Amino acid sequence: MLKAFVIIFIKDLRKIRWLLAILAGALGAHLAMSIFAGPWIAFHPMQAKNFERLYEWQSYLLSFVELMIIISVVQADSLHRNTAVLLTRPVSWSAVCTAKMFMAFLAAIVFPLTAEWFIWHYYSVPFPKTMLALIDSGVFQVFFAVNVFFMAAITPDIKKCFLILIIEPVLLNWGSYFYRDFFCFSPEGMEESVVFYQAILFSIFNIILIYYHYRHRRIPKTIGCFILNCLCALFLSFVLAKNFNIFAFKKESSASFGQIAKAIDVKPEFIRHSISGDQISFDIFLNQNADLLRQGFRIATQFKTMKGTSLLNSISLASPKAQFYSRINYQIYTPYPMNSYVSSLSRLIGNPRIMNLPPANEPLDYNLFPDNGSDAYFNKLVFEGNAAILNAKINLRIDQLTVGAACDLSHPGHASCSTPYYRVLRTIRQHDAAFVIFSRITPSARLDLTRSTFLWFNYNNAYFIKNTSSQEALSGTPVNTNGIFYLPLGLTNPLSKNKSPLYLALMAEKFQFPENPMTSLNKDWFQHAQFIAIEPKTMGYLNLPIEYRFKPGCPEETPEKFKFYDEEKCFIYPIANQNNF
Amino acid sequence: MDHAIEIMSLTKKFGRRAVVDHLNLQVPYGRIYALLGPNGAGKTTTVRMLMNIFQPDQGEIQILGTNSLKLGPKEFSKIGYVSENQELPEWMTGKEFLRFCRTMYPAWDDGFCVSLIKLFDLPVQEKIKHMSRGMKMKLLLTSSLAYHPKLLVLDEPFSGLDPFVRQEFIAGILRLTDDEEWTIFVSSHDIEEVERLADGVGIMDEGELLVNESLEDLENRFQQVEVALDEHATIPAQLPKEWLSFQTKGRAVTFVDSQYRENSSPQIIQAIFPGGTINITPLNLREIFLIFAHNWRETKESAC
Repeated sequence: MLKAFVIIFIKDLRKIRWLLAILAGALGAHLAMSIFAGPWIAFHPMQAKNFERLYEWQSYLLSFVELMIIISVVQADSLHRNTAVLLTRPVSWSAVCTAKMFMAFLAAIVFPLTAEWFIWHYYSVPFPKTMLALIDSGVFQVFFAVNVFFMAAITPDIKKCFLILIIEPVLLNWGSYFYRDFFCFSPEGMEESVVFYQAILFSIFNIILIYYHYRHRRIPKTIGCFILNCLCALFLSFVLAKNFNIFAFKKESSASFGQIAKAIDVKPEFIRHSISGDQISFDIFLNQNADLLRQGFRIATQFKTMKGTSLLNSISLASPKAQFYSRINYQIYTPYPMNSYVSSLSRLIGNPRIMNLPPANEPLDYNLFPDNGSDAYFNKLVFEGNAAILNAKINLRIDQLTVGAACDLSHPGHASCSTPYYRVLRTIRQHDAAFVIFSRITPSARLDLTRSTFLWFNYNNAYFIKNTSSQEALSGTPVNTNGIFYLPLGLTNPLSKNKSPLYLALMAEKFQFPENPMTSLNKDWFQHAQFIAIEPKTMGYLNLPIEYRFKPGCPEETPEKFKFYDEEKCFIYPIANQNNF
Repeated sequence: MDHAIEIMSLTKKFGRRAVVDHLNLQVPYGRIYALLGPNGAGKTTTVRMLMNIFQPDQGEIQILGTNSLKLGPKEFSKIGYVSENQELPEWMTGKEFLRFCRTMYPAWDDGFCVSLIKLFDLPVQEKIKHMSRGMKMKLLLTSSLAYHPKLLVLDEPFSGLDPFVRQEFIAGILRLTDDEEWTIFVSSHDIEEVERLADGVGIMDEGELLVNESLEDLENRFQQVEVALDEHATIPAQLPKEWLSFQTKGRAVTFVDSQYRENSSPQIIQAIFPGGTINITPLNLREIFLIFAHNWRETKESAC
C-alpha cells in the first residue's frame, strides 16, 4: 500500500511539476503583495482600489492553479472511461486515491496555508489566533479541494470538469437562496455555524464517497450518493448549529460592568428627522456620559431594530384611511464632550504633555461620534393616521478605552510590536511631521466570538507617539481618512469567498509637529519613543428601547437645533415632550 | 485448477440489451486462446469483465483461481493486459513509462525488458505522445510482458496496426511463447492474425458463444466438400443438418461439413450421392468464421 502510494505520488509529482512551479510563483506573489503592500499603499491611497483588485485577482489565480493541479492529478488516471492504464496494474485503488488526495492536500491546503501562516506571523497575529485562523481557513479550503477533486473524478475530461465547476456555484447560490427562505438563522452566529458545519460535513461525506468511487467506479451511483450527501450535510448542519452554535455571540461581562451599567443612564437628547420622497431619515443622538467617558468608558450602538406604527387618517396628500409606506433610514450618533475624551486618553497613556493638541480656546464641546455599527437601516413605516409612532430598540455596547498596542520605535523604519495585532511597518520623519505606517489585524466574527475587535478598521482608535523619558507625546491624525486599505487575509477561493478569518488594515498616521516645540523632535527623541494605539474594548451590552411620536405638518416653534433640514419639505414633526423616551 | 480462465453463465446488460448473454467458457493453462467475433459481438465487454473493469450483472469469472471481482494487486502482478483503448501517460517517455511500471512489479525482469525493447525495436527515448499507434501497442506489450505474467490478455491488439507491425507483434509473441509458460487470451476480429497465433478458438456473436474448441479440431471438423454428381443422381430433400452452405452448381454440389470425420464422413457422403466424385478441401479460420456467422444469423432470423 505504502509502496503504491509512493509510486503514484512521485508519478503525479512529475506530471504536475510545471503547475507546482506556477503555484510557487503565485504563492510568492501572494506573499510579496501581502507583506510589501503596506508601506507602498499607505502613501498611494489613490492606488488602493487597484491594488485591492489586483490582490483579489491574484487570489483567484492562486485558486485557479490549485484547481488545475487537483484536476490534473485526478484525471491523470481517469476513472471515467475505464481505460486508465492503472486499472489493470498491481496497485490498490485506495492507495491511488490516497496518493492523489495527499497531492491535492499539499497543493491546495498545506502550501497555501503555510504561506498564509507566514503572513499572519509577519503581522504579529498571536499563536492561538493563528491556529484558529488555520482551522477556519483550512475548513473552507478543504471544502473547495474536496469539491474540485470529486468533480474531477466523475468527469471524463478537463472541459467537462470546468463546465460543472462553473455551473455548481450558480446552483449552490440558488440553493442557498432557496433554503434561506425556509430556515431561520435568528440567533446571532447561527448562519456562520451552519455554513461552517456544512463545509465540514460536506468534506467528510465526500472524502468517503471519493474512496468509494475509486473502489467501485460506478458514476451514476456516486452522483446519487453525492446529492444525498449534500442534502444530509445541509440538514445535519442545521441540527448541529441549533444544538452547538459555535459562533454564537458570547457576552463577556466583567464584575465592574454591572456598576457601570447602573451609572450609564443613557438618554437620547433629541431625534431629528428629514424627508425626501418616500424616505424618512432619522438621526438619533445618544449622549455620552461625560463622567464615564473621563474614566475611559464610552457607548456605541451595535444591533438595532426599528419599527414604525401609525394611528389615524392621512398625512399630507393621502386620503383618510389611506396607507402609504415610507422607507426609514436612520443613523445613530453618540456625541461626546471632547475635553472629557481627551483627558481620558491622556490618562491612559500616563498623562504626558500632548504637544500638538488644538489651542485651549478652540471649541471642544460636541463632536459627532459616528456609530461603528451599520450606518443605515431600511424598514417600512405605515402611516394610517395623523400621527405615528416610531419604536426602536437599540443595543448599546459599552466600551472601555484601553492601550491596544505599544510599539518601540527604537529602530526607525521598522519596529515590532509587543502586542499582537499591531505591527509598525515604517516610521518616516520629516521636518514638520512624522508618519507611522502600521498594520492592524482584526479577526473575523468566527474567530472573535465576543465581537470585541470585529471592526475592520476603527475610526475611534487614537494613536500617539510618546517619548517615555521626556513624557511628551504627539497625537496622530489619519493620513487618508477614507482610504484605509484593508486586505482579507486567508485564502480566497470561489466557494469560500468573503470567509477570510483575518482582516488586515494597512494605515498611515500623521503626527504633526507643534510650531514651536519646547524640545527638538529629532532622531534621538524618536529613538526613545513608542507608538501607542488606543482601542475600545467591549465591556458588555445594554438594551435601550425608544419611542418617538410625530404627526403631519410643520412645527411653528421649531427649536433652533432641529432646523437642519429643509423646512418646506417638512410635513411631519415631533409631538411635544419628546424627550421622555 | 485446470483452467486459467473459467467463465460461468456470464451476463452483462447495457440498458435492456444483453451484450454478453450467459457466456460459458474455459481456457486451460498454457493455451493461446482467441475469442473471435464481429464488432459488437461482446468481446471487449467480456475482456473488461475478465479484468474487473466492468462488473457482471450475472455469472462469475474465475481468473487464475480468483474471482474476477476480487482481483487485486497480487493477482494483477501475474496478469498482463494490453488493449487498444488503454490510455498511456502521454507526457512520459517510453523509458520513463517502463521505469514507472517496473516499480509496481516485484518480478520485473530488467534483462527481459531490454530484450523486448530490442525485439520490438522500441524508441524508448521518445515521448509517448510522439509515438505511432503501433509503437504504443508494442510499448504496452513490453510493459505487460517484462514481469513474466502467467496470463496475458490482449483486447483487439491488432486493430489500427499496419501489416508489418502486426507481423512483428505476432512474431514477437510467438518467439516468447517458446520460453514462457503462460496463457494468452486474445479478443479480436482480425482472423488471419489470430489463426497464426491461437491454438484455441471461441467464436462469439451477439453476446453468445457459438464455438469453443481447439483450432486444430475446428479446422479438422470443418471441411469444404465438392461432389461431382453422376448423371442419374438426385439431391435428397433432407440433407444432414451438419452440412452448411449447401449449393448446387450444374451437376456439382458444394457444402461445408461442420462435423467432418476422416473415417466416416466420406462414406456418408458417398451414400447420399452414390457414384459421385468427392473432393474435400480444408477451410481456413476466416472461412469457418464466416460460415458460422452467416449460419448463426440465418438461424436467428428464421427463429424470429
